[in-house]
Amino acid sequence: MSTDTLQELTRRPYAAGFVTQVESDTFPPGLDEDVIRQLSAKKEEPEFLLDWRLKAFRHWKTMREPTWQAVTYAPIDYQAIRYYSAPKQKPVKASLDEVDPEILRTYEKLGIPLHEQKLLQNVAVDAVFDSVSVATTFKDKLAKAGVIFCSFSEAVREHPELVKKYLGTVVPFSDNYFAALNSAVFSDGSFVYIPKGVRCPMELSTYFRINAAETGQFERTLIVAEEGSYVSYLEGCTAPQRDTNQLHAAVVELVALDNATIKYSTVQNWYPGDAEGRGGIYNFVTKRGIAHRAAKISWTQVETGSAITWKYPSVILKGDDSVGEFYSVALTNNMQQADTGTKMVHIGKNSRSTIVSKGISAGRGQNTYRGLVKVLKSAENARNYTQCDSLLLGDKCGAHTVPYIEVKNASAQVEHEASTSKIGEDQLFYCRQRGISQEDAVSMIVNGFCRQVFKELPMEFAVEAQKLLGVSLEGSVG
Amino acid sequence: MTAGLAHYLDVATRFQASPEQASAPQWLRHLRAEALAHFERQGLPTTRDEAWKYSRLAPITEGAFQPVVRDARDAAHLASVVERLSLPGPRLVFVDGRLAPELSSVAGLPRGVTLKPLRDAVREDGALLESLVGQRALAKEHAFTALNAALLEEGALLRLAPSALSEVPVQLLFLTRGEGPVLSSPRILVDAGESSEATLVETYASAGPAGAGSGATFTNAVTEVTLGDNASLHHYKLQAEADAALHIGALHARQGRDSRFASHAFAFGGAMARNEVHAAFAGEGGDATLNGLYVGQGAQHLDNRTALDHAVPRCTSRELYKGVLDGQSRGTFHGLIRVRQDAQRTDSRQQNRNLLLSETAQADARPQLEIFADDVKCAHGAAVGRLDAQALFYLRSRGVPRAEAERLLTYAFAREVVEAVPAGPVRTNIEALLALKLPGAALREVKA
Repeated sequence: MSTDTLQELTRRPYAAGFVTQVESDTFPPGLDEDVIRQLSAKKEEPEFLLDWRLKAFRHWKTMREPTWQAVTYAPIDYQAIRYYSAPKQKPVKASLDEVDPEILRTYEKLGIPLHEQKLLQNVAVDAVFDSVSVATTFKDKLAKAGVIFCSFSEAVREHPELVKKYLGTVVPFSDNYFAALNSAVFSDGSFVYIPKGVRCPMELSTYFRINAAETGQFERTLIVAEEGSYVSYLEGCTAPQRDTNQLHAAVVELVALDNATIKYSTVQNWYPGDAEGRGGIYNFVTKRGIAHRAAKISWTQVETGSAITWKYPSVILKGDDSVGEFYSVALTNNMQQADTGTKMVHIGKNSRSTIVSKGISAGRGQNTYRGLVKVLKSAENARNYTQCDSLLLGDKCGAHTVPYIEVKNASAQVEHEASTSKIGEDQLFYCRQRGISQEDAVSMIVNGFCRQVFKELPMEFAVEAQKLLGVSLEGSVG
Repeated sequence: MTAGLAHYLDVATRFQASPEQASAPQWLRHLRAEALAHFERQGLPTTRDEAWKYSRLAPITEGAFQPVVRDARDAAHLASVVERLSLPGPRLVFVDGRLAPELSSVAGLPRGVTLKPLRDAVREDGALLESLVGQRALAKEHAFTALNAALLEEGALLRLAPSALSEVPVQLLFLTRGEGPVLSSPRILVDAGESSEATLVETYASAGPAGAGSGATFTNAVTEVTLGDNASLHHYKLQAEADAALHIGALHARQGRDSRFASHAFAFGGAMARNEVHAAFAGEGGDATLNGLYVGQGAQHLDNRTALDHAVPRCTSRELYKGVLDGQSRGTFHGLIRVRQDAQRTDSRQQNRNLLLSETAQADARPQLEIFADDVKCAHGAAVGRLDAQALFYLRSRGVPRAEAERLLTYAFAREVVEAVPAGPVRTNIEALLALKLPGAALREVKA
């Protein structure tokens, strides 16, 4: 493809890059114990949570920022971040009509169906705008099934016993630098509880958006699926276009009790920064699930945004016959960097895991798959299959694969395969010969490359993801 | 500072200050001193170092290993060991890290091929050595390479004049007797001129006095290979030291245009044995083959590391490492393929397969790709598993007893790496060593 088309198309603007003018209630930048106390007080949190936050904060101060990941960024000044930012409005909302119309318009612009009549009729959405949850739809229908789906703050108020029981059991606050920071300052997020034997009647969805400048978004998601239950959860993310970098350090904890299934899908389209690498979100996220007996946790992620993505959705296969899955498409264009992958820790007998990772690098993007498959001594007959493919579009980008395989049980079967390639001239020629434009041909081939992952996404979002990939990538094929 | 580091610093400092070494050529004294500084700065690696994550170095860091002065006892026994392990052709033999001239023979070297002990080379080819030592294996990047350089004294130089052809393999035989905590630090230098061809075999084995159990020894070997344009080197490393031996070896090769380098590393012995092979392409059209077989039993830890640096376009590399692990042994493979931005048309493939034969054996695999060019074909694969139940069933249903069927399949698994060695005395030698390690190897008689 000619350099002209390439340049023309990579200049395509970030479609979700607008700023919404809403008055917000914001903390001044800075972080100390007082900020945490203030935050906790603002959210009317119980004692145990404040203690936990403070413990996490004290631990965080003893930790050092990790440097092993294959990404580079200017040092983060944690004192320059505002740790709380909420749109100013009436404190309690009885219905959507009470939500600031400006915010609703933002979601509309993003195509997020906050209204119940809208396109995705069967999706309940919990929308997180900066740090607090704005509105949650479909509450009643869910309540009938006994499903709790609410903002984290609400869960703390309404169901403190559940929060107390599960918070930090999968990702303890001491887990890593960013998880510790999140534990200290998390402001909101989603909470899902599926009772025993219930199949959640609809797909649950949270939409995250960072709006205010200089804020960090530290959301925390906790999903608990009781015995024999099923839930499918989707999160999507965007942020306005700004010249400065913003930090997003989230923690997601999944608990799948015996025979439960949790399907967690992410479409991440945070602002990636401009072509010179100015601005963009630092997406440093800890996601982990624990699968008990015969439980299943499936992560699907489409990562097209963020200046830096640094996350490893993992599964601890604790129970016998448990199943872990990780399907990922990570795309880096321009100056984006992604260091992502998964960890599958096999503890239970007959535990199985599947990893399919597709990395696409374009422009000057750097894309790393980093993964661990660990089979402990107890994991009799454990089985893992890993496939990591990389596609390089352009001669300035990089694709790296760093898998770790540790096997301590002879009955385990672990396989890893990886390949790196570019779009073949012959493939392009074949399409062009049949009258398909260069653009469409590339898009077709790339979508074909990602098909294995897209087919894991809920229908509506698969369509969305394909489009997103097209927008992020178009023209960057050299 | 850890006690281990202090010990090795002390050993190297005393070595460098000894009257004999103080009169060494100035470049060599400088090189040793600089290496010692690098060693001190880096310290001994721990499992916290990413490159040594799976390595159990405690016996090395805790041991009081040091170089020894060789005595000439037990000549008859040593001669019989050499007889058993040696290949037809020129060879240098080292006992406990010291050259044993009476066991060595460089007769029959073809024209244009020079093989000499490093001590002689220091005296006779100072300028050449200065241009070779430490050029491929960098003391500043590797603590054990630095330690080897700080104690640089023994080793060998193999030099091939342009177009020189050595049809018989050249062998370097390193024997340790295990009578004391001996540290050997051989340095092997290969300088292959344009269009030359040779085969080099490094054999590491134990030669304790007949009947006596072998104590712990520590071999820290470094090999530096420079291949000129269109040169070709087959390199074999046969490591079959005693169960108590500790071994760290690193080979660094730099390949000129259209050169061919084949490394075959066999690791059978040692309580903890690490073998590194690094190959870097400096000219287009190069080809590298890195093969390895590690067979562990008991509490052995066999650690393999490879690194391929595709720095220039149009080079190909193929890698096959296989591990057979029994008892409580642990096998580790870490293979890096780096394709730099300009290295278009690279074609690289890497395979690592591990067979676990016991419930307590362990395998770790880290195949790693770093790719900065787009027009490349790169693939890697890694697998860990046990014997195929169906294949076992097939054999048993035909009346082959279970134990024999297992041996047969294990041997077949390992054999793939042996078969990549061209038929000849080297392969026969490898098969004999493998037979000692894997009883099933004896079955080849049946096959033949």
